Amino acid sequence: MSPTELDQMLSTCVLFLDMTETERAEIIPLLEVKTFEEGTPLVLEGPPDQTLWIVLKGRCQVAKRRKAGGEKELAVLLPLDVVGEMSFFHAAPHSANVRALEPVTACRLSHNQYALLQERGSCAANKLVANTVRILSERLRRMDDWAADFMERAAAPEHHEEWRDFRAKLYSGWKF
Amino acid sequence: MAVPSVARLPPREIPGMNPVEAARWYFDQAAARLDLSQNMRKLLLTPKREIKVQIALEMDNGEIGTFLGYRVQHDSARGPFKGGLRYHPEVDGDEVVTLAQLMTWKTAVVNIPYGGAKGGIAVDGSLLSRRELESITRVFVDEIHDSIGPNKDIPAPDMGTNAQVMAWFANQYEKYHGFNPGCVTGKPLELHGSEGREEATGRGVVTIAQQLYKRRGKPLAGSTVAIQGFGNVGTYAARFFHEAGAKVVAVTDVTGGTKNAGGLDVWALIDWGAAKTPLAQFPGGEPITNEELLSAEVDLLVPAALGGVLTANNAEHVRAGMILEAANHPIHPEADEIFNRREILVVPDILANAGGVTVSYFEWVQNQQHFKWELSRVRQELDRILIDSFDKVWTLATEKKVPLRTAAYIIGIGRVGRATVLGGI
Repeated sequence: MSPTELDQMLSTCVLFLDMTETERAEIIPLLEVKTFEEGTPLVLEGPPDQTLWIVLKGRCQVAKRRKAGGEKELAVLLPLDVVGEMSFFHAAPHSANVRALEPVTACRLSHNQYALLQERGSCAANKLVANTVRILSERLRRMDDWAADFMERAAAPEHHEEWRDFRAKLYSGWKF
Repeated sequence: MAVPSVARLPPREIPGMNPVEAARWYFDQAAARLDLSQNMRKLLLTPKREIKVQIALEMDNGEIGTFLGYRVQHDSARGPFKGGLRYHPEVDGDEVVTLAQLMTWKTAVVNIPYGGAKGGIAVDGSLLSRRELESITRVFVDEIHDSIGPNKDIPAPDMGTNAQVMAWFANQYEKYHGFNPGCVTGKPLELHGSEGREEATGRGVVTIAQQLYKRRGKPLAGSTVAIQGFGNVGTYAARFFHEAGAKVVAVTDVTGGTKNAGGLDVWALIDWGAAKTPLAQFPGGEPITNEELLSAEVDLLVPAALGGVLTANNAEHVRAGMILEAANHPIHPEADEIFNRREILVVPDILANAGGVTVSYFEWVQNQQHFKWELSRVRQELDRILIDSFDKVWTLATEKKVPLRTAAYIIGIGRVGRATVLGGI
């Protein structure tokens, strides 16, 4: 993939939102493009690795190990989706596995490269951070909705059902 | 009218139970008929609040006495908590919880607007001087006054307490909250007590007995009655049975008793008992033991003393056709099963002895209205409530083919359940 093709593609990626062509040009040379066979991992749950990934082609599965064994799929990444942003800014073990569901092309930005950019006082580095916050905020918002929905579905129907059942029994066939 | 027939259930294993387990057993019998889930049973059984306080006071001999006081507020879905306050050395938390639950079902069975509570102090009141008894009462009020009151929780006399204790109780409460006679019932007449409160439980027992006889198509007049217990309840029950024309043929208290197949002279026996003379020496009868009384050949047996007197060991010896539980839980579940099998009709405590709490309710109503009722009105209202309650229990027992006890619990639990559902949680 040529730098021009890469630039053209990344110009629509949320990570590069509001960046000028010049600013993108500061970052793109630092990216390393890699290809993955179906089933091979981009990111492994556990080991810390401060790398930011952008899917360019193909689909990837994000899955988390279950305590009881096996894995639970959390999401499927499509081209221009970003992954690894949590570990990129907070050096902690990766929270999930990311595997190629089919032949995948992705590019990566290492934290060391980003640090060099930041040391130069690059405006692009600051916008990269701002856009990552945007991605995390959107994810947190979805997580809040999901948690609220989960709690409602997990608790309320059971309560309502038992309450309705109790009421029904008390008001059917009995004279108190 | 025919006796309600009881649907035959397969034999069940009933392990040895203490009073707490026995009360739970009876609750579960009704809850099973209502098909209540375990969560709903837990909701209905769990007390709203349990209070345990230290009561420290200087005894007459200069020593410091430390006692534990309890107040369990079980349920208030139907109204303020209501229940007795007992002074007894064996008062403990579990027992008080069970008694508080029973009060909830009892107030619901007779459909008075209360929930259920119970309290007490683990002390032998008979070993206390009058000053010590007053002090322990006042300190207890000091500890719990914020949690009780005429619209919150209204205590009443129970084992080891009386109208005097209630007077001290109200007086101490009023030091915090001002004039408020409805904060407690069972007070002396001079301090906003009610006419008919003292006789209420015994009178209620006889009112219920009259309905029972009526339903069985037999006259109470001329029938034979044996009463175990000759305290407040037994004494008044004997008097009202006698006035209704029944023959009280045997009476016992903790020391033993007296019997006369032709009928005891009840008025003379009351005088005899009031003089603290052993009943066995009553000149108008022959001595009889408590165990003999329980197996006496009578139409109606009235256990009006302790709990747990009828067990699997003596239930087969009972020859009465009907039993009316004037005391709280005098029949073990094992014995109850035997009585069901033998088709001996048992009127359960939560209905049979509900006259006391019903007139307590009247006392509270009078206090709230600042208006005193005549004795005739108290009796009339008591009869109305108890007759209506008995009819509902009998009808449900007949329709659903369950024992009267299960029917009473079903009504109590059902009413509390409906109030809980309507009010929400």
